[in-house]
Amino acid sequence: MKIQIVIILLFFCSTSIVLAQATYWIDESTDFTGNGCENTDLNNVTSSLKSRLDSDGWTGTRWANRNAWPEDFIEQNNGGIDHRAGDSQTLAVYAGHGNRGLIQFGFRRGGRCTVSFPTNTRLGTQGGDEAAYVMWLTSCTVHLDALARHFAQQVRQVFGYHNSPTIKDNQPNNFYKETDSLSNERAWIEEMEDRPGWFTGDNSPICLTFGADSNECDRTSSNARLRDRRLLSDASPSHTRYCYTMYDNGDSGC
Amino acid sequence: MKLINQNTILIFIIISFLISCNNISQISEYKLGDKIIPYKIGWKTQNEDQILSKLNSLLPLIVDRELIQIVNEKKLLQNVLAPSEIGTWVEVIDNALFIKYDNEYDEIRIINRNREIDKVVKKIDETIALKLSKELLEVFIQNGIIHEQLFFNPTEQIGYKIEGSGSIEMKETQKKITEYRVTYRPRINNIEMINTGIRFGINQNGELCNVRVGGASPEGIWKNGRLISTIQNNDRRIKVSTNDIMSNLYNNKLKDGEINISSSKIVYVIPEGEISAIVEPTLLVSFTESRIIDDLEVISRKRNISYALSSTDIKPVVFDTPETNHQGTKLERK
Repeated sequence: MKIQIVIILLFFCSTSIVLAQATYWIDESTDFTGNGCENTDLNNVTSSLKSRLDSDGWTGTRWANRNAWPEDFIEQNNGGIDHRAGDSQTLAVYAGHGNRGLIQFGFRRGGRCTVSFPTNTRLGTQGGDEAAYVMWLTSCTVHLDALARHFAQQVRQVFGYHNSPTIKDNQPNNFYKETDSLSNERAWIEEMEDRPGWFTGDNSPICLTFGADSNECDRTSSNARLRDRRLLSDASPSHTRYCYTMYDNGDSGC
Repeated sequence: MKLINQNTILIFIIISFLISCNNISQISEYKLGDKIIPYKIGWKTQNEDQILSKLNSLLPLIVDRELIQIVNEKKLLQNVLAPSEIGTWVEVIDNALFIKYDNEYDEIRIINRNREIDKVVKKIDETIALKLSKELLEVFIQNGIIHEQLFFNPTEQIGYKIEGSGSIEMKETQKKITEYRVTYRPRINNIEMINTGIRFGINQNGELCNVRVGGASPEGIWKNGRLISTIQNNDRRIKVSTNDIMSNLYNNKLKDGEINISSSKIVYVIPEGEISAIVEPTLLVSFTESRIIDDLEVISRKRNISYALSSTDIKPVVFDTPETNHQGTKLERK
């Protein structure tokens, strides 16, 4: 009887540990008018993602516009609060504008609109140290010329674009949804190459994966699935290799 | 004087752009007064038999015989018609065959994972990939998967799947093309439709390893290779110059940022949010804006706007329109 109770307790403990890893932090800027960070306003691309994550039992926070702060993605040791924000959850997402190794917010705060990599950002390491997957729904942030600017992150995978993308409202949600069958890498490039219903190949989506060695890199590329909760745990403490897959339709805009 | 100089510079920029950008070349074929024909274009709902029939025609072109046997014996294609969730991928054969039917856009996507990760036995170049794609296009037409007349003279576009790796110290890096991605979009009266097409993924062995096919269909009657529109009062003419549209765009956008045109071409495109619409050719412009923020250059996400050519009174269609009332504009966070 005692053994049965112990087994049941262990089961619940292990289940809660797995569930605890399914967490997210989403910041999104859509309003770029008159807030000290002038740029073109954007459509909302993460609301439906948040709803889907919530309905799948993920827990986390989504902040938009005045409540989405640059310091959320700045390393605690560099004066940011990533330990309570972008680096406090498994999946970190930012949607807005950007450039190579750069993201731009819509509201000026603490004298800044932008966050630069690697200067400001250390996701998956130091303060926080929880992020394992990062999604940059921004222009050019994961341009091939700027891969090295992501090497200070200690995460499993980075999803982004090698060009300036067009992103329809539900695409990040669709990507996540597709990871119950496809690997993250395959789902990302497949979903993000075009606007849904268009055959124009407007985007160059890229998935950048890290590993302690090339085997781990390949294993994560092939097997990590967000929705299926495969390889959701924190990344290895020290990666030495990177690998990437992309659909290259040019780097328009960058 | 200052105004003249600005306009002169602007015209120079536009002319330079028109010359340099291939996508623009299509615009120059049209001039004021030319006839443009509207069609009813929409995404159709297919019944199960129609989808199954198309899948059965497609499979032998992308899947080896042994796998087809498994699919047929176990009737696995039925799973594609009843996915666990609408619009999701179905893993028809574990780690090997993935199929998705998207009923919203009437599209089939198939991934043969075995062929995607196959060892390279021979290495083809881009010319061969394009030649193979043209041959495949013919086969797809012969098998009735795509409409012969619609794809008689399609637009061709090539992209690449690239895989790379290396050490963090950047002491060694590798980068290679693992797949050629060739897209065909149909043309009606020499104007392309962007909501319909076919995309072949051709691996380095020259095999079809993934495919995306389907999309919207135009309504009309084919006669002597031309699609006769069913729309009444379809005598519409180009009344707006594409140069004027581009000038206005530059004039408006140059005020607070620099504009970078990704593409600009006359197309049939279904307006945002519609599943079926009367569509006439419009000028679809895709562009980004760059600005200096915090002393750093920032690039906007790409924007797509389609401009009517038949009247200045028709408002441009802005795709991915931002919400009027943005969320989170009040500080709620502590």
